[in-house]
Amino acid sequence: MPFEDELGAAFQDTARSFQPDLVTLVNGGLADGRRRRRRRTAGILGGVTALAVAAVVGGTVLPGALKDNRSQIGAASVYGTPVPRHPTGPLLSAQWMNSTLAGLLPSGSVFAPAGTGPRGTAAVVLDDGKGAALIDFSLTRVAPGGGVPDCPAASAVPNTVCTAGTLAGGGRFVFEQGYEYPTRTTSAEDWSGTVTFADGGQLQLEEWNAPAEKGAATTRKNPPLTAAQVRAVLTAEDWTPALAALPKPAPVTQPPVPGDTTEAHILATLKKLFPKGITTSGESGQAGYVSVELDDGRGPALFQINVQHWDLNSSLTDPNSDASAMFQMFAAATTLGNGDKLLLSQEGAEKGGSGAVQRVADLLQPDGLRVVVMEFNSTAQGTAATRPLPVLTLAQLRAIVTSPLWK
Amino acid sequence: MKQEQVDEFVEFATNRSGQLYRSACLLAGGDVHLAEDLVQETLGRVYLNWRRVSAADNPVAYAHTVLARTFISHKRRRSSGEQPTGYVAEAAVRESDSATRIALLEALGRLAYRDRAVLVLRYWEDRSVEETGAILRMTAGVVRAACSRALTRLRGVLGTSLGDFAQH
Repeated sequence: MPFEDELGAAFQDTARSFQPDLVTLVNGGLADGRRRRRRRTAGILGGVTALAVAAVVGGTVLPGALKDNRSQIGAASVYGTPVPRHPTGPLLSAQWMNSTLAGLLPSGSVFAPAGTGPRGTAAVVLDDGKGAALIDFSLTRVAPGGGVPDCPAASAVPNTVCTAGTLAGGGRFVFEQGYEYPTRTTSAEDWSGTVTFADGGQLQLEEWNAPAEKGAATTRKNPPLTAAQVRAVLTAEDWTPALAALPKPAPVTQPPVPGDTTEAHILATLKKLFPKGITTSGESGQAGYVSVELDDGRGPALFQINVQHWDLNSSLTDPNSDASAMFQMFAAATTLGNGDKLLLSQEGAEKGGSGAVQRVADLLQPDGLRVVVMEFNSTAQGTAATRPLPVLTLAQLRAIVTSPLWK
Repeated sequence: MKQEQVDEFVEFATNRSGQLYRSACLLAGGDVHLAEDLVQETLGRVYLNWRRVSAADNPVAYAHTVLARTFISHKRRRSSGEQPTGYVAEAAVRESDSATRIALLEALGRLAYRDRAVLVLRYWEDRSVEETGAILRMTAGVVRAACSRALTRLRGVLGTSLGDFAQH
């Protein structure tokens, strides 16, 4: 056999010997993606103005700032280069963001790790003698009308404690205390605070009990800043000129939501369909989607529903069309007497969790209305089972999705 | 992003993470911690562009392209002038590994990272020379040269021991 063929066989054998931890990979990927999305938003919105400001003042301010660095602060450390504790550099530049943030942090040395993020973001390591900790910061301007910032549903971010409240000046403060990988409580703690003002100005701070994100070893019990300290950093007047320099995005115009897919309608309909003796709590959702905890007296468990309209008159030959997607998804479905297509399944929960089981009933009506319910025997996806089986049987799920109330 | 799109992404990530991870393990020369980070970063980048990616002809190929490029950019960041060395990641050796697997991972770890990526794409992901070149942003000639160089090195290190795999 030629060496190239042997190598192919060796790659196959060796690669298959590696067993992935899917929960860690998927949750880590999702967390990484969400961070990138936050940073990109800040970068895009801040970019144009920040560049204009830098062009005007860059040539004269920068040398002074560098000199300032050398004279006032110590040597570089393994965590990066030292950051001065008062604003230097062009407004919104990485230098300005890092130094302004450093000036608002508790006592200790502040370092900037290698590499810079988009305009309007800061990333520093605070070493206060109790363990070095990474602190990320971003400011942006979100479009007014995008809804009131609030805590996410507990089922969406397991092992996370969240508080939300209104600030004296009218802003909204949300503080989450969770983990780098939400389903892995041995990972580093990842806390974040967000302040959103009525005019769309939004500031966010994220802190770890480790000097780097992802799998870095922890250096202290908790991240360094308390909720009150985070709020103080986010509401400091130091950020006012930077927020004012950000362009204002156009207000959000929400597309009209079909009446039968509003959160209120779905929840009201569901409550008529749940069997007697089941209590509900923790309702949350948005257009087309509701999440709720069910309890039959033997422990709560997560239940989710999506109600969607799909255009089944679109072209089947277009692989990206609604009709094509639904044709593939329901290819193995049972067709009921009225033409509805039904899929039922019970399997190990797709996002993992010890002993976690998920049951799904997925119904597509001939007019394109799709009702899909999914339930678990745990209170959040990706967490360990809290009861042997989900609350409702597959037959009860089937009764819910096939109800004429969805017609 | 709408919940529905997040669900779609999670379904995609759940289905594809295993294969991405195995590719990443080979690219990382058996360093499973690096492989995990590479896959998470890859999925993060896919999530960032999910609306566009999910509408594309082949999201799977896109994700594998992102993985290969993430690996190259990671190595480039870490060591701009990296040369083949004797360093092999600690994690490459596990109790359950056969001697031949260990030898293969060690040999891979000693290749220049671009040559390693070329081999993994050509002989594990079964990509053509042209596809490999497009993914790694190399010309076909450079891919062929890298492949030939890496095969010569591996043949020298592994000799006939790879025959063990073919006999399974």
